[in-house]
Amino acid sequence: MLLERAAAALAHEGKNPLHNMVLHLQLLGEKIREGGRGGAPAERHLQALRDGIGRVDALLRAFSDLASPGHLAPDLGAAISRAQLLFGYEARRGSVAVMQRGPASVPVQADPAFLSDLVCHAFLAAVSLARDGALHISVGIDGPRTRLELRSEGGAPRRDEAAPHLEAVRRLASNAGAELSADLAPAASARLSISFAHPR
Amino acid sequence: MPIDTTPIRNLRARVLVVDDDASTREVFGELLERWGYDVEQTGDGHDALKLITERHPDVIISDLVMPKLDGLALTRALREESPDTPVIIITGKGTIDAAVEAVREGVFDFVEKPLDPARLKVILQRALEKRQTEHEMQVLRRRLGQVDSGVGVVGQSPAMRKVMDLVEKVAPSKASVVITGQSGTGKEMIARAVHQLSPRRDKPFIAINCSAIPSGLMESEMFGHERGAFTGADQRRLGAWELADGGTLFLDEVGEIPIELQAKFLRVLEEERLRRLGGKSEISVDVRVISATNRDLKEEIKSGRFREDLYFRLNVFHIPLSPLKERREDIPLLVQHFIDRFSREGGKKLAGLTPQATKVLSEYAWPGNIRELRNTLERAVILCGSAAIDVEHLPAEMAVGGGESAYLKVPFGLPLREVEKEYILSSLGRMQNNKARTAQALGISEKTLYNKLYRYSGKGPRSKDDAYDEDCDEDGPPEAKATGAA
Repeated sequence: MLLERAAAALAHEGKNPLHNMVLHLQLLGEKIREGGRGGAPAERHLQALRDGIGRVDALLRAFSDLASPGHLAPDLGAAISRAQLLFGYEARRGSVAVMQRGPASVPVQADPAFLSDLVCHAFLAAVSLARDGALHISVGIDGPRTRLELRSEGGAPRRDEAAPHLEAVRRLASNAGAELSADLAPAASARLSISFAHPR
Repeated sequence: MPIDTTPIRNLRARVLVVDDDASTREVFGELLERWGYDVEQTGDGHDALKLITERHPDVIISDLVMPKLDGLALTRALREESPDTPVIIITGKGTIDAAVEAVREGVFDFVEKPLDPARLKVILQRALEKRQTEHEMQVLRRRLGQVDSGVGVVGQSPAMRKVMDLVEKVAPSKASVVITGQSGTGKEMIARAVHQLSPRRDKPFIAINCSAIPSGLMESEMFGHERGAFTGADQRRLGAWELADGGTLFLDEVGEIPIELQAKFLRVLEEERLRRLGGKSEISVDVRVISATNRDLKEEIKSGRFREDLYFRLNVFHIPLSPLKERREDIPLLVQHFIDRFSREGGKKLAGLTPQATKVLSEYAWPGNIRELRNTLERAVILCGSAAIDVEHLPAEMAVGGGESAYLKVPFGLPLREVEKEYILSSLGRMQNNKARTAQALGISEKTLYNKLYRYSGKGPRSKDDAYDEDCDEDGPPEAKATGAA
């Protein structure tokens, strides 16, 4: 509950200065162009600032959604994107090359609160198992189910780091109404597959 | 509220920015000014409501979360004050639920923080277009002479436009109004328009025809009475003043108020308090008075039948209504209005009037003004069994030229010969230059008519003795006849 409220406060308090920055940036851009000092270099700086604002905004939004996912539509594509946005830092820190295939939006039948946590834990487990290697993520339709597959390859898997996340995945998969299939035996490769029913 | 007919597009559109964050508000203001808007700013929802009342912005951009009065509460409050003003809400809480709630409250659009300036530009443009459309509809309604569905004043002649200008000017105030005009010119309709366009529109409009109330009952009707105030007063009764409290009291035929009661009217007007007949305490009333008369009240004052002080109190603002014959441009509009109305009420589908019927109605003098026109068309719609009203459905006296153009006006002092010439030429014109019918209508022979016309053409008499006195002889001038006989 505290986390939820903190996330809401952060979103509100964080978005106001971002909003303010966007307005100032727009004004600044117009003044630069008006003063004849525009052109490609100035435009590049302005765009970098806009992109930065966009990234911070996306992070705030993702954090707020993670903390309070009740209002979200159950969407597997959006959930994995959110997990990457929030925990992509873990992959970069562990030298994991992340590759993703599949559409950005894939609605599924699941409780959005469990779905969000499940996908984040699955991503963190797969990143730990792909340390110094590669992580292949795919989202797609597989017959009557929609499937998320995370395949960790090569490198030096950190099974100890992955263990608590895998435990959470097992628990949440059952709560979210998902089917879990894990193949963790090969030394240099691991596969997590989670499938969901299509939405009614 | 008076209708502002100034086209919005010729002015810089006015945007009110409401945000409790001063820095955001200021940069927003500067940006919008650069985009060509006139900007007002405030950090408080209550102040915003005040500014909206005073400055009438075209669009409002408001933050959602604010202390005291938030963006949605402001939108709710605006529904009363200025329902046509679009509100754009800027929020950090971009959930679907919040957006749905905002739209339900009447928000024009819902923009998430941090906003996309390009998107805001588009939304602002759309909001202004909506506002412009509303504005144009109002102007159009006015041009059609139908200021408000509840007002129903029809007319687009210069005279009626002037009247509606006066109505719009006086309506927002509490000033007493006197409407003058001939019987049937629509004095009560104009009084209702003043009421409808005033801030009192939701309060009662009480119409009293002073000439229809016996003088003995006038005091009780107007001021009410307590139980037992007089024989037969078996219960308390509120008078017209009290019934109109908060609204408008329309006193038709105001010149008929008995002189002995006029002082009491004056007192209520001045003190806004009255005492019912038999009452012990005074009651406060807040009433706007509109009076109407077809009498010359100044003449009534001179003859001692009307108090001058009451006249001045009632006549703060004067709206004169022209007779229908002086605003003939309105006749087609009125005709169509009444045909539509009576056709609808009678379940008929009438296309309108035949050209002949149109001509008759356009030329008629309408001594009974709009009331007569209304009654004529109500009757015509009932009688009409075809697709269009024809001359046969109009009153006979109208159809045979009972209008003003059936008369010839000649100034005193005009020589008799000239009078005769005017009369003959006018008669010929009315008969579409048919000389046989004209001669018959004038009671002279065709030959005499031809003789006269020949002379009017400036070619002189057809016979040397063709003189005025002999012209009445249908066989020509007596001298000519005598000469011929000789």
